[in-house]
Amino acid sequence: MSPPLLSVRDLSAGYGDEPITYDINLDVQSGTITTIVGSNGAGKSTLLKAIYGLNRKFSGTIDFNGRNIETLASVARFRLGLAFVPQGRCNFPLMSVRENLRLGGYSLRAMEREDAIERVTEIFPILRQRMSVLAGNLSGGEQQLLEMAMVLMISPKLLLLDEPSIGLSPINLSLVLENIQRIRAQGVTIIMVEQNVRGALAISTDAIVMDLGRIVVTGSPQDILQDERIAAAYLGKRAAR
Amino acid sequence: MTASAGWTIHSIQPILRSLLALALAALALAPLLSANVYVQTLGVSACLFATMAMAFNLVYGYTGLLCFAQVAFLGIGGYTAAILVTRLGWSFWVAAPVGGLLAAIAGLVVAFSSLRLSRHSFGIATLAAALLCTIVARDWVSLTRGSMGIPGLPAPEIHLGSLDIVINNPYRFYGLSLIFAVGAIAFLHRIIHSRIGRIFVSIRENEPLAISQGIDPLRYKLLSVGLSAFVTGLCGALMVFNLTIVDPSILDFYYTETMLIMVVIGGPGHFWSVLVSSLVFSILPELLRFSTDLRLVLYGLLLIAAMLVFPKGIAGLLEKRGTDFWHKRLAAGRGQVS
Repeated sequence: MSPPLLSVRDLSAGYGDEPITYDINLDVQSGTITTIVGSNGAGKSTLLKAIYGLNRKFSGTIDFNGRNIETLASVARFRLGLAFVPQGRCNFPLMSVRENLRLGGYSLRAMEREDAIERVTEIFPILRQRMSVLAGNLSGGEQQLLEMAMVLMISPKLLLLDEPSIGLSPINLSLVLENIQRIRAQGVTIIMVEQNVRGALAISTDAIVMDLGRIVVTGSPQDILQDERIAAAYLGKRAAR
Repeated sequence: MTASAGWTIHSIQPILRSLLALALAALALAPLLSANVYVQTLGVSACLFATMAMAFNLVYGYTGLLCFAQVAFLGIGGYTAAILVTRLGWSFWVAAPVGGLLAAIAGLVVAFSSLRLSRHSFGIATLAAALLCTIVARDWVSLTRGSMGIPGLPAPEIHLGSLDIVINNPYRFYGLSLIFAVGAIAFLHRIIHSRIGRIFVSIRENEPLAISQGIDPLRYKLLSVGLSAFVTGLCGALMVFNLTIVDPSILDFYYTETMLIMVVIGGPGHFWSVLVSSLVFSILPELLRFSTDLRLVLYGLLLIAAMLVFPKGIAGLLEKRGTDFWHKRLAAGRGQVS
């Protein structure tokens, strides 16, 4: 087996003086989709932010693509190919689609940026017709496409998605999941936190269950969904059904 | 009903722009064509206030940092230029940029120390900096002459070969202020509409998302504060040499308040509407002088009315028209598809 793309060892992280996650051990292989599930307050988003360097690390190590990164700032981690998409709307509504895409390719050189815009608008042709429209004036689904395109601008190696479907209608939820698979097809490894357990696990290759800041179960999505005790204890009634 | 029915900001934008350009050009030329000293002096004031408002718009409107230290930058620029010229015999043309530079350095120091905490800390720190500058101007008598101020500032001179121009009357000072204002505002326009300007807006709109795009917000916030402070410091230098005196009144809260009014009524983060608003609010207090007693009451009433009619500034109203236009167009497009 090839070495993992991301390796987290004994990580404790949180905010201020209080750790939220404890002793996290995690290996993520290239080309996979790993979904982290668990109840509210389980520490899922905190773990993603810790991997991206947005909160305080108390102990432990993070290796990404063979390099130790836990002392690096978020921007430096980004340059190594780690991308993080926070919760909620992930575009700039008062800017045009083109400006959003340019910001998505902020770290690229001018020529590379324009090439990347060409590349992502081939994947999402509707955006080509909307280039000068303000992102806030796009429909919910189009905004979702734009956000995915922004992520693909830099071709990250590992993408951290924090609740990508939050606040979306059921139609847009399926669009999000479909687009996550399209991103994976571009060779991007994905770790996501998602409240919509069934939908997320259906497209995942690996699953992690967190509770009270610790990883309590790891395994295949099917095994976790089929284990009624796990589903009932950690994923809520709907997922257990 | 089709989207083309009724006017929208998009449909009349070219006409609006042409009218605005003509109006601004006429307004700019009026003091040059007028022999009236009052009009020329008002023109100088309008040029400087417009530039200050645009510099404040850069940091507050575009970057989302409520900076109360603009008045401190104005004072630092004014005092530095005045001290360098009167004590060290420097030329105004060197002293003024040094004043701007010192204002920028002061802005960077305040911003660097506070922005690492939060935007609120920045607001408080800049307010403290403005108050501190007032104390320094008033109490460091050996440097600033305290409340006496530094009077008798010499008129700036231009020596170009055989051409000697002494900028010693309102007409010439208006010419200088106009050139400065056009240059500074064009510079700010260039910044705002460049990639850097878009990054400022992205930080204002959604800082976590900007970070996730690999942007270092602190670096760009410092750049925004530094540029704004530099331009405001230059305004301070011009202002005091126009008045031929600098005293602690240059640090009066009135200037902060005026800049805030101009930007908030114009629409923070919008260029042309803030420019128009800054010109209107430079001239409006003078137009209200017909009633000395009621002047401030009328000014207050007009402000309240403006805030009620344009809660998001003039630009907010125009933007709403633009948004409605796109929503109608998108809805019409979907209707055709179905």
